[in-house]
Formats: sequence, structure tokens, C-alpha cells
Amino acid sequence: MEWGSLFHPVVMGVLVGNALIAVGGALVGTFAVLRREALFGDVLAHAVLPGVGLAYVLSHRKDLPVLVVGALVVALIAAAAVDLLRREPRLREDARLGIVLSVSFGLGIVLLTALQRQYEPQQMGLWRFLFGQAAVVTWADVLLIAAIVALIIGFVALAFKELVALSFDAQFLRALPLPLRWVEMGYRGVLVCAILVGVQSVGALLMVAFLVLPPMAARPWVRHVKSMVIGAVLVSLAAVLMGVWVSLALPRVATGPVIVTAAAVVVVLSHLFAPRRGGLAQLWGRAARALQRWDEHVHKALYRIAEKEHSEPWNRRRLAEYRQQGVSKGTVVMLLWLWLTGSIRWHPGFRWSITEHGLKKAVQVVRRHRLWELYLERFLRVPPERVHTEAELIEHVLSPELEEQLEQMLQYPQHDPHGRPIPPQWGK
Amino acid sequence: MNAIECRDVAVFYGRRAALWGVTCQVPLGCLAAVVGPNGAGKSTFLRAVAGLLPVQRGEIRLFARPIAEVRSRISYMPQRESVDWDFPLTVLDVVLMGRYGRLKLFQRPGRLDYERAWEALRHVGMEQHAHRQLGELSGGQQQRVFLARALAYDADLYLMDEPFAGIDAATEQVLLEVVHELRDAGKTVVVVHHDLQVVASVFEWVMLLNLHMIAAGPVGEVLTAQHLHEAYGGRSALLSEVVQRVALHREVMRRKGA
Ligand SMILES: Nc1ncnc2c1ncn2[C@@H]1O[C@H](COP(=O)(O)OP(=O)(O)OP(=O)(O)O)[C@@H](O)[C@H]1O
Ligand SMILES: [Mg+2]
Repeated sequence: MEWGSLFHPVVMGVLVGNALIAVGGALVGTFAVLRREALFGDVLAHAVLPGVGLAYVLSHRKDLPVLVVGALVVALIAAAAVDLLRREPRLREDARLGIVLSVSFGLGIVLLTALQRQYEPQQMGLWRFLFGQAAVVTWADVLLIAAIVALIIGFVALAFKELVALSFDAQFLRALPLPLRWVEMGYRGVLVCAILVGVQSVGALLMVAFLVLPPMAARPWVRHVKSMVIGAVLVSLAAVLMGVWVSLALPRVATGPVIVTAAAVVVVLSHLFAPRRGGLAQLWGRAARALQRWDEHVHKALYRIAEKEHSEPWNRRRLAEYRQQGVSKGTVVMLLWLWLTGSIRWHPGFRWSITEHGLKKAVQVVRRHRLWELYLERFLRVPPERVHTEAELIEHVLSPELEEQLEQMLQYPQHDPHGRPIPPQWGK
Repeated sequence: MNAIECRDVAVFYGRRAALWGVTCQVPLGCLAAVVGPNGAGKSTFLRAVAGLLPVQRGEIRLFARPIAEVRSRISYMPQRESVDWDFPLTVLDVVLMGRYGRLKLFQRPGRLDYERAWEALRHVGMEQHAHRQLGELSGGQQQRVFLARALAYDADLYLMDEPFAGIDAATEQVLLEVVHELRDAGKTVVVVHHDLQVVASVFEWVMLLNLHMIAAGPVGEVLTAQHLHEAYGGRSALLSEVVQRVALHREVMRRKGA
């Protein structure tokens, strides 16, 4: 199919239907993630299979409303089975969910394979509930989907504050005089609804990923549940439309895997590029801190040179003498960096001297280093021969406020434990 | 009238008893501590009193009424570790939850609720953090948020599970002040606490718990060497065993009160 056909009524129906499915899934999925109940959704999704199978056996019809009713009934039975197993305290929650999930899935496969034997081949349509086929949504289906999604949106909007509070701290809320049973039942209802409409596009097997991935993609960017819902809706829409497009272009490709793969890519990208929490932001932070350490070590060496040479220019070899003190090889790079950042000045014959800017920076590092050495010796009783190595890291993390506190505690000292002068603050 | 009255209370998780034969009272308007070793059932006791767990045997009455009738007068503060603090909400959102019990289901918080929430935040010294993310709080600040939420509810009985665990001296000071203010305002405060020294100097009433109530009453009478040895010398293996067997007999379990 070509792009030109996007506005064809059939294609429009498919697009609208799937967009609605995306919205419903994202709304409910956000709460499934916040409640840490994704696996429960997985159980319900797998229960859809025996549901549609049973509906078909009983009615011999495969239009969506009939199948949805069958799936609804069986999903609710599966949920009740989980509740029943919760009365057995020796089973753990993962075991309970695993049991119900596998049994309903097994039943579903048995039913569908039996049906396939008996009445081939037009019943193959039922298989789309396994892997999803987005492109078979008709306008009649869209009406049903719209009604169900409207129900989901209405409930989440109505009970938003209770849903959030229950996700955060259910125990506190249950101690309050509120009829929360209605909220819990409503939540379970919309969870089943979102799964019912979602399964035909995404498939029962991958439904849980469809619920969980969009809110996960939104999480590192948001500060509030409201924005998490909006972010999840956007990601979900993008993933579903991607799936629809592929489904229209390549009718043999199941849509579910496309949708879920698209959503997973967004999750990875989102966690890479998110500010602060994101992988790249953290890598950048680590690199920036490493650069800062290196820069400050080099300035410390500059300070030592300036201490000895006063304002005489010196050459490259002079800097290399400070290798043991964190000044690594590659003095050319170092000099280039210092020169570019304005810490040293060039003199004829490739000789150098420190600038005021460089000295200011160097004084600060040396001050912090020597103050911390003194603190280690006086307050933590670290032997003098060990204070230097311990101070090597701390000198980079001291803030001006901490530096001042330190100086106060040490009563404005003049010399470090090695007897070297502690330079006064720049400008004083 | 007593704020809390327990008669022969038993609570089970499955077939394992967490509380057995617990009988105790907490007088109105007093500062009470629940003390006992790890796994003694202190949290279970508090949750049973808050009406969060079904009581299989015996009866709990608050203000001389069944729990269900007085829910609007009790404020439960769970252990800080019981929730996920990396949750996309702000401090103010959480404190507002304290007001939910004063609102109808689905009703939005109004001006009064916001005022009360801000008041509670100021009370615990957190007003400058009102719009901070939960994930950015320190342990002591988390505890203050929980305290503010409990205060915003404005109850008569406060049940606090280990509010003093893992906090700094400043937060401890705030907590102690608030707890005393509540008591002076005629409220009853029940606190799970691990530090016997603090309990002896701050609280008036103590419940010493280890599966059963070893002693409950004024501090001086309860914190004796004999009682403490009983509580901390290990759970009575005999009692645990007997309770497990008894639990199989439905008739015994069904009896309400003794
Ligand atoms: N949800 C639960 N399911 C099964 N057993 C539980 C559950 N909660 C607690 N228990 C058990 O009940 C007993 C009492 O637990 P509880 O949490 O009340 O102790 P606690 O006195 O609060 O301990 P801590 O000092 O560690 O907080 C423990 O043996 C515990 O293992
Ligand atoms: Mg506890």
C-alpha cells in the first residue's frame, strides 16, 4: 500500500482505531508500572486467548463485540483465580501469576488449534490475537474501541488522585475511611478493557510490553505522574502508528512485534538521552569530573613550579617532573590545554610562565589540598606520610563553603603537615 | 475511656501467628511505645489496630467502638521503607494525601486542604521543600514528609511505625516536639521504637511485645529486667508451637474475645 492511500476510509479507520488503543494502553500501563503489577496485566492478556476461542465455539461468529465479551469473561475469571491463589500464603506472587498465566495460555492454544482442525481455513482470523494484526480494524470495530477507551479515560480522570495515592502507598490509604474497593474494582476493569482492545493489534504474547514500555520511556523525563501519563501516550501513539504503517505496507508481518520493538527502541533512546538520569548525561558527568581532576592536578604542578621559579619562565621538562603527582605523560597536550584555557603565557624559545588566571586556580586547589591534609592529620589522626594520597581526591570535591568551614575548624593555619605554606585565599 | 483496647487478639499470616493472645489498653491522651525484638509483631500490631489486617480472634476497640466506625479519627504512618521513594510526585502531593480521608471519593482537594497541608509542612520544617521531587529527599526528610501527611489528617489517634529509625538528630528533635505537642493537645500517640533508653525517658506507656503481650502499662512497671529478659531472650518456642497447632482447630479460631 502506498502513502497516498493514507486518507482512504479503510486506512483512516485502522489509524483511528489503533490510536485509541494506544491511548488506552498508555493510561492504564502507567499505573501498572507505578503499582509494579505489570505481570498481572500479562496474565490477563494471556487469558484473552481462551476467551476468544470460547466465544467463537459458542457463537460461531468472529466479529469483535462477540469476541470481546468472551475475552472479558475469561480474563475476569483469570483475575479471580489469582485472587483465590493469594489465599494460599505458601505460594509466592510470581508463582501464582505464573500458574494462572500458563494454564490460561495452554487452554487458549488447545482451543484455537482444535478449531483450526475443524473448520479451516477462515477461522485463522482468531490467530491474530496471538501476535496481533493492526490492519484488520474496521469502522464498526472503531466504534466499540472508542466506547471502551472513553470508559478508560473517564475512569482514570475521575479516580486519578486515588489511583496515584494507591500506587504510592496503598497501606496508608486503606486505613482511611474511604470505599476504596470501588477504585480497585474500577482499576481492574479498565486494565482488562485496555488489554482487550490492545490484544487485537499487539497480540496476547506481547501485550505486557505494550503496557509497560511507553511509561518506562517517559519516566526519566518527568517529575509528576500527570506528565508521565502524557509522555506514555505520546510514545505509545508513535509505536502503534509505526506498527500500523508496517502492517499496511507488509501485510504478512505481524504488527505486535513491530509495535513492541519500536517502543523498546524509544525506551533505550530515552534512557540514554534523558537529562540527569540518562546514560549519556551520566557518562558526560563522569568525563567532566575526570577532566576537572586532571586540570586541577596540572594546576597544582604549576603552583609548585611557580613556588620555586617565582616569575622566571620555564620549559616543558620542568612540568614533566611532577609525574608522580598525577601529572601524566603528554606534556605537550597539557601545555596546549593550559595555554588555550589561559593559565600559562608563552615566552620565546618555548618557555612558559603562569598567568594570573592560572595562579588563581592553582592557589585554590593547593589551598584545599593542604587544608585537607591538615584536617586529616589533626582530626582523623592519619599519619603524615599518608595524608597526601588521601587528600588527592578530596581536593576536587570541596566547595567554597566547606573550605571556609575547614579553615575555621583548623583556626586559620599557616602550614600543612609537611611544613609547606598554605596560601591565603585569592585576593586576601 | 481508653484510646485502644485489645482483648485476646490473634493475627495470622497464613498459618503462622504474628500475634497471639494480645490483651492491652492504651489510655486516652498518652504517649505510648511499642517495644520488642525484630519480628516480634510490632508492625503487625499497629496494622491490626489501624484496621489493615483481619483479626482472626479476639477484638480491638478504639475509643470504645469497632475500628470501622472510627477510621476518621485514626492516622496510620507506615514504616518509611514500605514505599518506593523514587516515585514521580512532589512533597506537597504526598502531604495532601493526608487530607484524602477528609474528602469524598473522587473529590478534589480544596483551599482548606491546601492550607492544612502547608501548615503541616511548616510544622515539620519542610515548607521550603514542598515542590521537591520525592526521589531527591534524604531519609530524615522522607520521615518528615510522612509525619506531615499524618498531621494533615488531623486525627485523635496516631499510629507511627518506627518513625525514629535512621534519622539525624535534627529530625529526631522535630519528631519529639511534634509528638509532645500532639499529646498536649489531648491526642493519643502510639510509636514503635527500638531504643529502650529513649522509650524510658520520653514515653509514659509501654507495650512490650513478642508474639504475645509480655507487659503493658506505665513505663516504670513494664521495663523491668524480668520482662525485658522475657521479651528479648528469644521467642518462646513452646508458645509458637502450641499456637501453630491451635490454628488448625477452627472452633478455637472463631471464638471472639475470651
Ligand atoms: N505479609 C506477611 N506475610 C507473612 N508473614 C509476615 C508478613 N508480615 C510479617 N510477617 C511475619 O510476622 C512476624 C511479625 O512481623 P512484624 O513485621 O509485625 O514484626 P516487627 O516486630 O515489626 O519487626 P521489625 O522490628 O523487624 O519491624 C514476622 O515473623 C514476619 O516474618
Ligand atoms: Mg516492623
